Amino acid sequence: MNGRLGQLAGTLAFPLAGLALIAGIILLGGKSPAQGLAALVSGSLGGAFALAETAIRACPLLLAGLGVAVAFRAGVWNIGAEGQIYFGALAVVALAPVLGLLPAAAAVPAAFLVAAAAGGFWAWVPAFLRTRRGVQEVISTIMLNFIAIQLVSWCVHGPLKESSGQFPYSDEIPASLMLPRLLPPTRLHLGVLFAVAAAAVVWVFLFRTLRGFQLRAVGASPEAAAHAGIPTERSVWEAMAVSGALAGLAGAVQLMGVSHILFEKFSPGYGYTAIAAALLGGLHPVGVALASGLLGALEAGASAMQREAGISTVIVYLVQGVIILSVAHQAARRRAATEAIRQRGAQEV
Amino acid sequence: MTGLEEFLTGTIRLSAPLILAALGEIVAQRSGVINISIEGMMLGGAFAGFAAGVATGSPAAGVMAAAAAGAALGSVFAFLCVVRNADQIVAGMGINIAMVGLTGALFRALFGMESLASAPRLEDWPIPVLSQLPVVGRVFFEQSLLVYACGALALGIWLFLRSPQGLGLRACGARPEAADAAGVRVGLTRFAAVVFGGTMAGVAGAYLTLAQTSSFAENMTSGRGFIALAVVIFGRWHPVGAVLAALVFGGANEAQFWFQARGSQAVIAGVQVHIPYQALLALPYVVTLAVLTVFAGSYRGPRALGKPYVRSR
Amino acid sequence: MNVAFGFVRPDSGEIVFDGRRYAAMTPQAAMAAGIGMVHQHFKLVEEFTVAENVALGSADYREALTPSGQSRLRTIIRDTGLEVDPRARVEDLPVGLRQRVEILKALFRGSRLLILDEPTAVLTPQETEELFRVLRRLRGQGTGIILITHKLGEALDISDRVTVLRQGRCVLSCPAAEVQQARIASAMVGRDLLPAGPVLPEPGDEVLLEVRNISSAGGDQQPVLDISFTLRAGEILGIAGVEGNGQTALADILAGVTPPGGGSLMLGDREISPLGVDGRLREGLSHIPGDRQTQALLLEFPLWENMLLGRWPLGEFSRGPLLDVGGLAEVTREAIGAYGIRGATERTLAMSLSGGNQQRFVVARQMGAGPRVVVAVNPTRGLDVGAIEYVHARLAEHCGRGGAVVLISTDLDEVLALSHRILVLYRGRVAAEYPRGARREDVGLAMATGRAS
Repeated sequence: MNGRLGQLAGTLAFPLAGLALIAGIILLGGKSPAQGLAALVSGSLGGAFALAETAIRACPLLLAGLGVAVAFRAGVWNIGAEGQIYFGALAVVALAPVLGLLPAAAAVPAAFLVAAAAGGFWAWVPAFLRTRRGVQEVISTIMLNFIAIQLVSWCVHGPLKESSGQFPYSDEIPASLMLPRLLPPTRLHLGVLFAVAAAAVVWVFLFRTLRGFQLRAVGASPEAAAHAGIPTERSVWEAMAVSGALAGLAGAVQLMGVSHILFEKFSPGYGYTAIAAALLGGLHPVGVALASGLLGALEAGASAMQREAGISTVIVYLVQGVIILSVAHQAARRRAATEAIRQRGAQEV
Repeated sequence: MTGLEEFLTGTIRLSAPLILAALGEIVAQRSGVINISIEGMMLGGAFAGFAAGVATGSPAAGVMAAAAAGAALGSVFAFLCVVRNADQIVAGMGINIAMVGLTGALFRALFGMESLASAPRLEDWPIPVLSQLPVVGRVFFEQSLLVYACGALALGIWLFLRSPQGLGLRACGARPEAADAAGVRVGLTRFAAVVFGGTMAGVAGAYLTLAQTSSFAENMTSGRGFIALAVVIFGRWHPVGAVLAALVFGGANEAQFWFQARGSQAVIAGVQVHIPYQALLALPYVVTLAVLTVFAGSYRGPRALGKPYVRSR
Repeated sequence: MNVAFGFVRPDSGEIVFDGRRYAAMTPQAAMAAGIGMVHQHFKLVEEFTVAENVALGSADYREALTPSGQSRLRTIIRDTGLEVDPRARVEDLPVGLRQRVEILKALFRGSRLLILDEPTAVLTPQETEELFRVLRRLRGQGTGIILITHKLGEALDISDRVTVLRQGRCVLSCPAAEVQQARIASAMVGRDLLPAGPVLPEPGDEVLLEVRNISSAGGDQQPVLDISFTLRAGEILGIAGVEGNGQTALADILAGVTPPGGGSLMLGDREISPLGVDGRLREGLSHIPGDRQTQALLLEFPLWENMLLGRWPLGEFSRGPLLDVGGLAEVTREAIGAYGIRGATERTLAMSLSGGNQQRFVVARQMGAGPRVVVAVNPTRGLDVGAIEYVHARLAEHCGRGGAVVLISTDLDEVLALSHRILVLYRGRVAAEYPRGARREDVGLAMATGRAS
């Protein structure tokens, strides 16, 4: 690709193709893409209610995405955010009777601790399998996702089934566990602030603490880390524990702030979308926050799009997918350019 | 049919899409590329098969459309990851998410929400003589064409991997530098392998809408593509191993229906036990984890799996 | 040999092989012409069988797998005595047999000339004997053989003719019967005048480091078998040797990257063998790794974080749970200034620096930790003359302040210029010891043969 024009063409190829595809499908269904776009924007950014919805959808993506970013930076491929979300929420629901006895000020932090511990545990299993048995975490985390989903399914059909026994979901969590609304009548809840605070904490951890630095070093160059006396295995453990805890918190926040009950499709793929958010955000807390915001906006705007322009929400996934593919393509091109520079540089002494 | 025959027949029918998808992924992975978007490609094939089937009334046309869709998606993935060396996990996730949206939106646009459109069914083709055999006949030889294709493809891929061309492909996944030095075109081989994998995933998806059910629903693959990944590992990247592993998963799935039909009760050691169907659904994943843990060392897979190959000089 | 086999294009001259002239080669053309190369690091696919690997190395791998191709392979195995089972998987074979597979690849392709690069580096004496038996047989069948080796005894043992290359020139070429090892060694190392090394202070009496009978715990490189030495204050101890004789294992054990399998390491009066790199740094032993890009630096990180990489064990940059970023930045800036790393700030990414500047930074970082003992591994590899002088001056300065240096280097010039004492490493043991001012030929001979002269 030579010349500025060529560069630009390469960058825009995927997004433009995607855009054309999306517009084409909308037209095929007899609807108006322009109307759809307008609804998407207004539904996600137009007014307090829309912004609140965007924030709510972004919230679990941000928390879980932070966890994924931490793990990936340590070189640990944690694809298990989905299962860790379920397990965190499950733990809170299971212990809700006990937690509900506490006054609200103590109940919410206690619930968060429970969820973090549960998510951390669910991530501990693949960490253990990797360090002690050499099992690749990409596969073990995916397996545990499915196991967690079945576990939750069994629980809401069985031991945690709501009191009248008719429906496959849990009882509502006690009022003291519900996250307070920040801006009634919108659904904006405390969890959103918590997620933003978590992003700040993760940033400090990664970039301003020794442990965070060591974690990044192990992920960047295990050999250099070994020569610097940094224990590699310990970083793997820590990364997975933090990663799982954050995903568990995502589940808790979604439960306590939005749904208030646990049910089978509690997480419609948040764990996987969070991976997308982490990657789009360049594994940096600020990037992850922005990417989560974008993905959340897409989901929030989608319902408005359905209501006002008659375009089904499912097309939002196509938008997300096109974004991810475009970013992957662009990143690959940038890597190739850097590599070319490095090859040239390697020849001089 | 006796209960056992019913069970086995059902198992085979449920395993077929897994086998097809896994066989394709084996070829791709042994060439060195890990494609986690089988799920999305299956979904794409399911929809394409459904749409073409409804439009033409012919299940055969549906299967071909599904194969074409899978091949197209495979080409996109191959372009990103083999030609441009993009991150294979990221690209795979992107395609998965995009396909949920693409198929869902196209379904609504073309068929609308209240559509009762039904795809033509891929009928069973009993094989003369063989289907008269007791037990085995009804179970194995009264299936649809795609099921027979599973067996034929497994055998064909096994033979291919043992052939000289297969050697070249395996070298791409084990040690691409050696393959390159031997004159094997690594990029082309991997591209072709990925497109093949996509085609197979597409056909696997067609099975869902043309043989298993006759309708399409949003995100109907429900994780089968990820199960196919587990099948590849569990089967140790070997076509016959994959068939056996898929049968285990299919069997667990069939067992789940069985138990539900019988009130989820079972008699174990003389004691009546209630087995929740979720346990059966989770069983294959637990088994995969257990197997990976116990046999840690031997489940490594092709050495260069997931690593883009760039000729360094 | 890279030119002969076509990995590198020559700028001038030509290659004449088998009556044909070539301005430049490519690996494909070389193989087609009948030149076969057996590399030091095998290019085999371990999951494949011997036959499959030979096929992959042949001109037409499809043909090689046919029954006639397989029968041709078996004939070659029989005729040359390179006994190996074609159906065996390479991963099940010991190193000696794997080498046979590499040779078979070349012969199967019809090579008339075999180039073997350090073939006995990985072989036991027994396996070396068998290899030589095969080579003699091949010679008898009309195959030409070029053996690249540092082992003079073996070279004279097997060769008809010996050629010595030094710094890119042919300095000696004659029939093997007409030379002895000493003459070859002296041609290898030359008699040039060295640039005068830095003035070294006299070492004192205080023993800073005592190494007793250390050996390697395992691993797949040349292990350290039994090494002992002492290091006094103000002393630079040079450890010379041809690459592949245990330097990496020794460096890793001294630095604390791998624990020793046996023996003891006393730093002052403290046993440090159970300590890792971080513990040793705290005790006063710092090391400069041999490969700066993969072992000493995080290339995509800024210099201030790379400073932290080397100095975190000392705890000087922690304020409670947080890092003292300001302090780190300042120390980094000081180091950049003091060590003359021009055009860089603490925010510059490590990969943006030239090789010389990267090494200056690493040396600055490791010396700045205030150690008493520095283990420097190939500290001036790939550097220009100015950078080399600079690093040497800093090491000498360190000794002047009462510290000591263990210099492990494959660059004999460096070792000779900088050391008070020289130990020669051969196959994991100390083969000889020389004082400062020893004759270059003597040290070179010991390096090549493992015997003191």
